[in-house]
Amino acid sequence: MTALSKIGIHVAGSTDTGAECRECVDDCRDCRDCKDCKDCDDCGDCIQCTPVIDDDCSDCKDCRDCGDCIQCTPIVDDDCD
Amino acid sequence: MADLTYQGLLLDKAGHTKLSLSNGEAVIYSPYGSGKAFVLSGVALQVYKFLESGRAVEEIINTSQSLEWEETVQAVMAYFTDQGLFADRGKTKTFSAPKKPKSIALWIHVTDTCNLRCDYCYVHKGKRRLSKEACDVIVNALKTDTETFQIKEIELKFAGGEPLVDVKIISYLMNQARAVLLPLGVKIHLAIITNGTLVTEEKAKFLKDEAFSVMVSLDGLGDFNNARKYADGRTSVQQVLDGIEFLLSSGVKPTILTTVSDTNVEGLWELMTYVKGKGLTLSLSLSRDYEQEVGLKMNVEHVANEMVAFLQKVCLLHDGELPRLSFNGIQFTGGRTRICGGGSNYFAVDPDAGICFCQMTVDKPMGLVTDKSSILSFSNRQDMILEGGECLTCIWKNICCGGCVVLAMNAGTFGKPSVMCNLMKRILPSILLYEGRKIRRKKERAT
Repeated sequence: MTALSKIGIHVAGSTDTGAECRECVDDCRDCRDCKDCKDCDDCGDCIQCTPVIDDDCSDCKDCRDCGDCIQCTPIVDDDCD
Repeated sequence: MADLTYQGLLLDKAGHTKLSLSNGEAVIYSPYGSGKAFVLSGVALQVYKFLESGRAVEEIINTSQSLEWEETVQAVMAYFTDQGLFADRGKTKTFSAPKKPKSIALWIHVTDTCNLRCDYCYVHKGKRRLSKEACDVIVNALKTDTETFQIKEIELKFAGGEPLVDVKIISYLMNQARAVLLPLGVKIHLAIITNGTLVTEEKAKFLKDEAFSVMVSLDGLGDFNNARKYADGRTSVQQVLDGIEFLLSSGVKPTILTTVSDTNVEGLWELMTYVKGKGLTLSLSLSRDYEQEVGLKMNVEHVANEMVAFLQKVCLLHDGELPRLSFNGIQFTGGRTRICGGGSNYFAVDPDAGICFCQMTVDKPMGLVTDKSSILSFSNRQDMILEGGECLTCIWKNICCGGCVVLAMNAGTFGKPSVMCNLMKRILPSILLYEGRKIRRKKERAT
């Protein structure tokens, strides 16, 4: 748990647990069933094994951090570094 | 000692949205910070309520003699400041224009043949099929773009017509893309949008084996799916449900895509219950069926009322019962300036390898892929939030982003509020509430 969670702030698009997020990426079995993965962000917008979007893991697995995984109108590159 | 930096700061209540969750916590969205929604509980919620009631920071700090309390208040204030919750925002984050694209997504119309005649379909039905030659042209163009722009990811999304009428050509394009692009270090994602009626055990196995993401269109159960009938007028819902079962039996978990209009909005709860029962995600898109002179072809007030009622009912569910919903690009996970990448790094390709701004303009190709031997050469980014435009001051500007570019072109509202604007403003607070529920459920599970 990070400082933000401790003071009662909980942020969207992040598990707020950077270590777990990396762990999730490392453990990726490429099963494409990441909705059921234990560390799944459960955002409901991702049906690929795109890692959890988190400030601490934006460099993982080429994450584009665009937040638009695979729905009808995909791939917005705004703000992607 | 209190940090006087925050003295005199007033909450800008009009500059952000705060909604109460059923458990007493609050979800907040501000367009001036990270663009991410956040939920307040415990101390942060307490501090917010103090500020809301007009208390000064020093007064808040003085409510306790504890050093830990003071540090916590300072930390909360720092976060609130970063998120632009105060009238004096100082330096707040602005969302920079994108650099070069790192990914390309193609919505590939394998064919314009379809066994259904959905009321709102963009595709004029015919007998065109994507040829092997067209596939080669597409793959070579992607190769050129990958080498020129250092593309890292390519998504091939197969649609139609009904794409499952021609699995062979899907397989051909998939294999060609892998043969040519994987050696360049590109990740290829495969997806398919099907009406579900032609799914067989064999096709489901193919989709599973090749790791496709699968989306099945279904607007509702029973008569609520009546916008999606066969060409001869028969209802299709049972065949779609059978197709979903084939997929599930093969280990494929499709996302259910639903186009919401006033013909099916009252059936959303029943549909959501079914989708949740199958352990799937329900993706809701508002119908963009629009006609000059007529306007949006739905009763906007009816849809708004029903959608809000549906979402509020969803938000009252217990954590374990909360369904997986998505809203076709509407997300509270970071500021954006466009609702989709259409015409930028996302295009539709018709069966003749004509390249189109997106699937909504598949009958109006901008040219042939062979014209330029490149996909990205057709890029024509269109931003809807314009300097001086009305949307610029809207609190939802980084959520709806001015709406769909093609719809705006059709309706003559480019750079102005979308014809969906009033509907979106009604619905977005309820989607934010749902977001708040998701955040907290996730947190509780993660801790």
